[in-house]
This record gives sequence, C-alpha cells and structure tokens, in this order.
Amino acid sequence: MEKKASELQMGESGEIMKISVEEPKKFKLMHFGVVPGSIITALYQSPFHDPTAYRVFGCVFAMREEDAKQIMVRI
Amino acid sequence: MKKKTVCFVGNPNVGKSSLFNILTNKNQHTGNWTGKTVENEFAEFVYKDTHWTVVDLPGTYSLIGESKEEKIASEFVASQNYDLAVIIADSTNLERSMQMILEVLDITNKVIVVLNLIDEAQIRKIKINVNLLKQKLNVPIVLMSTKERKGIIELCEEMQKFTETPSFFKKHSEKIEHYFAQIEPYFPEKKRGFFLRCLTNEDYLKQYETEETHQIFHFYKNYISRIEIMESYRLISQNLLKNVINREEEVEKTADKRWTKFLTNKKTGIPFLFLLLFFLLWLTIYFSNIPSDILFQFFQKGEYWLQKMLSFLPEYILNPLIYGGYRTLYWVVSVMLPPMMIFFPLFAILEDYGLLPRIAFNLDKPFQKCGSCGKQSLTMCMGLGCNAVGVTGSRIMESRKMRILSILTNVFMPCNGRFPAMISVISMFFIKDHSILGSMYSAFILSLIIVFGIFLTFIITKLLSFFLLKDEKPMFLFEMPSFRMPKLWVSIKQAWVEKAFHVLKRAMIVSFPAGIFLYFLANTSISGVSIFELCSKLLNPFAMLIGLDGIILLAFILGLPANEIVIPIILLGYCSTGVLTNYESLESLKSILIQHGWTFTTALCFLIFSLCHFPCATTLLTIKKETNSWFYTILAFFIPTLVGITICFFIHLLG
Repeated sequence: MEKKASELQMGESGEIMKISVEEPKKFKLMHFGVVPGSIITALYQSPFHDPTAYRVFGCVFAMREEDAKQIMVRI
Repeated sequence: MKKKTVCFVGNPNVGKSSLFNILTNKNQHTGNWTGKTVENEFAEFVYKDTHWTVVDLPGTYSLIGESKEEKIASEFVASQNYDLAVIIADSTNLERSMQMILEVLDITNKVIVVLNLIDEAQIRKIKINVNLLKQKLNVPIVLMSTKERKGIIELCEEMQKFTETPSFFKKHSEKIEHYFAQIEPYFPEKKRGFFLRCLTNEDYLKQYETEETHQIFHFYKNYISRIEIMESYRLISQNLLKNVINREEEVEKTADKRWTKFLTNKKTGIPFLFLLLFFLLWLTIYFSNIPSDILFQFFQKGEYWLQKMLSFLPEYILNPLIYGGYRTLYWVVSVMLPPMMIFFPLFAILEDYGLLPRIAFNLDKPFQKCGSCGKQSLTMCMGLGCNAVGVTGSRIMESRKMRILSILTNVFMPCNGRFPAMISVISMFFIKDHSILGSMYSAFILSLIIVFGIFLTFIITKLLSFFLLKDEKPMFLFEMPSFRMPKLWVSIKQAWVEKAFHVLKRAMIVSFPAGIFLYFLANTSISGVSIFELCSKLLNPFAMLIGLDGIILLAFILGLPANEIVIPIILLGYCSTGVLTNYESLESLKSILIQHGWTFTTALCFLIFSLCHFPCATTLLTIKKETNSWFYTILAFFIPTLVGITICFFIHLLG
C-alpha cells in the first residue's frame, strides 16, 4: 500500500518510493539518506504535532508536515 | 623537523572538533548539534618528527552544496593546499558519511578515513566489515572513539607513514561519464572532482573555462543537476557498502527513546523546558552570591594596596585610575564572573548532551507561524550567553530572511552581561528574604522575564517577516543527534576557557577605559555642573516618561560598549561624590536607589528596559559584519529600543 510519509503512524516504517520536494530541500533530504529505496520510520511528534521526527538508516531528523506530504512510501 | 598540513573533513556532529581538540589541546567548543563549526579552525601539534598544522573544516554532508559551510569546506578541499585529508566518518551512519568520502576521493588520493563513534556502533550492534571496506576504498582506515580516546595514536601513526595510493575507480552515471569524456582531454592533469565542482560552482567555473571549453561546461551545467550528481554518488556508495554494513541486529537504546518521548510530549515537553530554565537560573543565582561578595572584599583590599603602591603618582592621574578605572573594573568582574562560571558550564553540559536540537524541535511550530523556524531557538540559546555569539550563530539559519530575523531579534534574550544587573534589581525590589526560597523566587521572576523575551521575539519575528524579504520560504529539516553523555569536566573546562573568560576579558577591556572616561565625565564641570549631571538632566524629562530617570537612561547609553557597567554608572550618578562607591551590601545598594526615588515601578521599568534596548557595541558591530548592511544594523538598534520605550511608557502610565 502506498501513502504519504506524513500519514505514517508513529513507529511505522515504509520504503520510500517518490520524493517530490523541491530543490534545496530535496538536496538536504538526500544528505539525510532520504532517497528512493531507503526505509523511513516515523518516530515521534513535537508537542504541537508538527514537525515529526523520522529515521532513515542511522540518522534521525525533523521534518515538517508540508514536506513529509510530498514523500510517497510503500508499506 | 618536517612540516605538514592535514585537514579534517566530515559530516557535522561526528566528532571532528573533538578530535581536533584532543590532538591540538585546543578548547574549541563542541556542541552536540549540527553546524557548530562555521569557519575553518587552525591549530598545530607535533607528533614524533613532524610538525602538523591541522585545519578543521566546517561539518558538511557534501562538497557540492550551496550553503556557506559547504562552500568553505569544498573551497579548501579543492585547493589541495594540504598534505593529507582525514575524513571523519560516523560509524553509526556510514551510509551517509560514504557520500563525503567518495566526493573527497574524487578530488584527492591523499586520504585517511576515520570511523569515529565505533563504540556506539558496537553498542547498537551495527556490524561493519572494516577489512572489506579498506580493500574496496584502497585507503587507510582507523577505528576511533574520541569519547573513549581510542584510535588517536593509531591515526597519528597512519598520518606519519602515509603514502599515496591510487583511488579505486568510481563509475558515475552515464550522463556524468559522458561529460568526463568530453571535458577530460582539455585538463589532463585534473581530477574528476574538479569537473563536478565546475558544474556546481559558478565562480570556480569562471576561473577555468576557456573559449574551447565554455560550451561543454555550459551545456553540461544545464544538463546535469546537483541532484543527479548526488544520485550518482549514492549509487556508487550503495554498491560499495554491499556486504560492508549489516544492520540486521541493530538495537535502539530504549532509555533514549523513553526520554525523548518525555521531552517531546505535549504535556511534559514545554513545561519541562521552562523548569529547566528556571533551575539553571536558580543554581546560577543561588551559588553566585557568596563568591561575588568574596570577590568584592578581595578587590576592596586590593584597592588599598594599589593606592599605596601607586602613591608616587600625582592625584590627577591616580584618582581616575583608581576611582574610575579600577573600581568599574572590579564591579564588573565581581558581579559577572561568578554567574558566568556557573551558568556557562551548566549550559554547556546540556548542549553537549544534545538537548538543544530537541528545543528547536519542540518550538518549531510557533516559529513556523511567525515565518521562521525552530532553529532560531538555538541562536536564542546562544544569545543567552552573549548576543554577539547569537548573531554569529545565526549562520545556521538556511535562508537570508530567517538569518536576518534571527539576528534582529537576538537581543531580546538577555545576555550574561545583563543578567547580573537584572538579578540584583530583582533581589532588591521583588523579594523580601534571601534564603533559598528567596533565590528561587528571583530565579522564577527572571525566568518569567526570559519567557517574556521569547514572547517578544515571536511577535517581532512575526511583524518583521511581514515586511522583510517576503518571498523566501522557510525550511526546517533538522538533524536530531542521539543523546551523548558528555565528559563533565571537559564540558566545564571548555565553557570556562572558551566562553566565560572570553566574555569576561571583553568586559574587562571595555570597563577599565570606560571607568576612566566616566570619571572625567563626572568630574569635569562646566559652570559648576559636571558633564555627567548635565547630560542626565537633559535626559531626565524623557526618561521620566518611561518610568526611569535621567541617570538610568544615561547609564544605558554610556553602557553601550558593555552592558555590564550600567549599574556602576547609576551608582556613580547617585553618589554625587563623583566617584563610584564601594559595594557594601545589597541592602545599602537598595537604600541608595530608594533615596533617589526608585520604586517598584522603576525597578520593573529597569528590568524591561534591560531586556529591550539597543544591543551592545560589540553585538552591533557583529551585526554589521554578518548582515553586511547598515540598514539592518540600524534596525537592530532601534527595534528593541522602541519596543522597550513603548512597554516602559505603558508600565509607567499604569503604575
């Protein structure tokens, strides 16, 4: 099943299929290891529900919902 | 002795600076968050028969990016002005560090790879086949744990006996290989990293393009995007790491997980941060009282001896030196030193532990609403120590707009130069007893003032983001490093040496001449009235409107070089002797203030105006340097001042 990364439940993982985020952000995401084929896991949310922390390989990073919406994952 | 240069390259927050410090005995501060080092740092050390110059480059994920750090780092790596490049990689995330390793290997073969944090990788059961990796990369690899101080000697040995070996061949994507085939004949001696750099860096390209190559470069510049280059590296790295890393048995630290949950929970996250701030301030206030008194007594005795020693000097030289320079100096030192010696280390421990990224994470949403991002809270934390540092630290903000917002609002965080005055005013006018409970109460009030400062930061950021550089879109993609228990003594020592003494030194350099200057202001008279008095009388009508008086306002103005001297100037103004009084006790201080008409409202206005007024001269100069614009420097001067005047005006009106 495919869904947006922003729709992942906390603790849920998925394989990244498509990233439609724009350039400077996409570049930065690649540094975190966010590329098609990597496994991304949603970890926890901030007190105000946005951003959310995700993990890819050994890297934990915070991403806002607006960006997570543009990443498609397969569960 | 041989002389050699080595540069340290690597991702942010993988312990480059720690290694740098261990090798060179420096105390460069290493925080547990991304982007701590923004400039190249230089230092030296001697190992056996070689004198090494070490260059610590800013941490970056790649050398082809556009950020300031990436440019600085890639500039240096491309210059090849070094004998050796040591790449520090993160063993817990080799997938990512590999990108950097490959990029550097495309520029130079003079490479040693360090796998740092190897202890953490072992704890987390991430298996790395080092021999296979060594074979594949064909460069020396050193396993290291800077925390346990393992692998340091091994690295030095490798550096000593290093001989260049040809790097393995990296087959890039078809497009890129095509480009290489076209361009390589024109620059037979250049390495491939050079060609890739030409595609991503306009200035660099201009240096090298010739009539013949212009077309090729420009064609491929439009044809191959940055992302494609990254993608190509990623594929190479993926192939390379096959069978090298095994994450099948990887475990997560459960304590880490639970603790993070608590920190970022809706109900516990924000209150905990407030409590932490309160606790930090309370410890600072409670434990700095006694050392402060001791310092005062010590310096007062010193004054007596100094006077005796210098008694051969004529009075018109001796008096300004002692009553002007020396007294102001010791006021500043006695009041500032103890809180700094407590606050800075405590803060450094939290920083090294990795708390700051969580603060940014928790506060991102409110900042997002104001047109900025959570990283601004990091610059605010720095500002709590020293606003000039906060302004420089604003480089971590990705877009120019956010940088400017963060720079312009940094002054709403009271720095260590303003803390002591605020604390003494709070303990004089807001609390009755001076027991533990009393100091808790002052810490609480100070925390509230800081929260008020945060609140103002939000409002001003929001307002400014309406008017300034509207077009840019903020982004917040931020790494959250895992918690690392810092070596306490190292953190404390670094905080003292790097920060406390640095800030103190600056204050001392300013306060001595400022003291002498003040002495002359107070003792030079025009038709019977001293210049100081004249100025304060001129300012008085306006100052009264905002709940202060002429002397307080004049003190703030004269305190422009360093905020620490505000209280001494006020006292100088009140004691018409023309010299700064000796400090006896908080009580006597209070009675002097009350005699000159201070009330609760005055105290409150003083606190607010301390929080919101023009930044000190050093900060202003830093702002000019960082923004490269007089306009923003002037804004940085007037925004907080106008805010302060407005709030004080209303307090006075209502009070």
